[in-house]
Amino acid sequence: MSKERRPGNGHDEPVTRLSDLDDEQLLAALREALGASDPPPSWCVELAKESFALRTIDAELAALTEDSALDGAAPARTRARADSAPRFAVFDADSLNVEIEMTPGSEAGSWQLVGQLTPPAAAIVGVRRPPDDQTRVTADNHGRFMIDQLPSGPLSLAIEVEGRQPIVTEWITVG
Amino acid sequence: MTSVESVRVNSDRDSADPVPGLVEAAAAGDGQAWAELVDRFSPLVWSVCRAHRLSVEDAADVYQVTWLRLLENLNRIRDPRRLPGWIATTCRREAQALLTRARSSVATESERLDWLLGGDVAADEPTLTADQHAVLWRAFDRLSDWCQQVLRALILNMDKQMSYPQVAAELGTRPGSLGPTRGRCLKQLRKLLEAEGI
Repeated sequence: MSKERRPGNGHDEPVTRLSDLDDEQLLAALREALGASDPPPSWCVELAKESFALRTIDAELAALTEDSALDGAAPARTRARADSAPRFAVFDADSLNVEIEMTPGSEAGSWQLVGQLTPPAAAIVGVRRPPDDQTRVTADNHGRFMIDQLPSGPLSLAIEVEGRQPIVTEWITVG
Repeated sequence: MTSVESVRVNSDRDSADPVPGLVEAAAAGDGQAWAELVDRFSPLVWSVCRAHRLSVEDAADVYQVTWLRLLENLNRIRDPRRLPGWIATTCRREAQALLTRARSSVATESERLDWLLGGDVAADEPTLTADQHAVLWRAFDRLSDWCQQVLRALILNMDKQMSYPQVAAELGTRPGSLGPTRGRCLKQLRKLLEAEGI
């Protein structure tokens, strides 16, 4: 553990360990860690509870295997927020890959998402957002789909190809 | 009130800890169990979000994604006793990902680290790292119920500026015992932190 500042106000000397804090400082640190000074907004807590409706039981999980926003080797793409460079992400399941590209949408704060299923297949693509939104778009016979006016926030896609086990992608944050 | 002066560490948490049962029930479709998990660990998730000095809006996104990731992994949690660590780690990764996206691409790793550790922290902003939050939280969770009650009461009353007799009255204990109990509970907490090497 590197040197940290002491919790609480007005203490400027760095300390190395939490266990070195005196009683007052330890209580102040606890106050911060327990969220007593900064509880989560109640609407946040309610939303998390209601999101239980988004639980899937029969779907295969497609793992996020590539995300240009997290890829240090592609610095030009890490600024999806700040400029118009698209953000790419890839989700892999056993039978299907989902590639998506996100760019800022026409309305401020909205995003446009263009997707490609591999191998290409017609599909119903559910746009999952908390607490229980399930907007749907269709992927054409080439496996292409587009979602417009997507607001910032958590997103997962549910892919249904006829005759196959449904797939849901890992959650990512758009924006 | 029982075991008023007790400062023992819970050694029988396996039988007392409701978390494994809640995880199992939620995985089986019990929404009430899920709600209890959210209530129980929301302060941890939120404090880790805020430790990264995210805005309320960004913290809300990271908070939701953390819960959604737990939701999709409920069946894969092998050791529910380690859930606080799993939650804190998931939340920290998501917060760092958001910061990476938001930050200028030219920022070097060390600049990013300096920023996270708070080179110029404003006085009213959190000063603990996400790791420290998780460790403090875990240590606190291992204290006896009475110690947890006493420390929580003292913390809540820091803002209200209540006197020891008032806090003692709220807890239903003698004012004279509060100071010594506070000292012993903090000592116990420090021991647990030392054991973590933090």
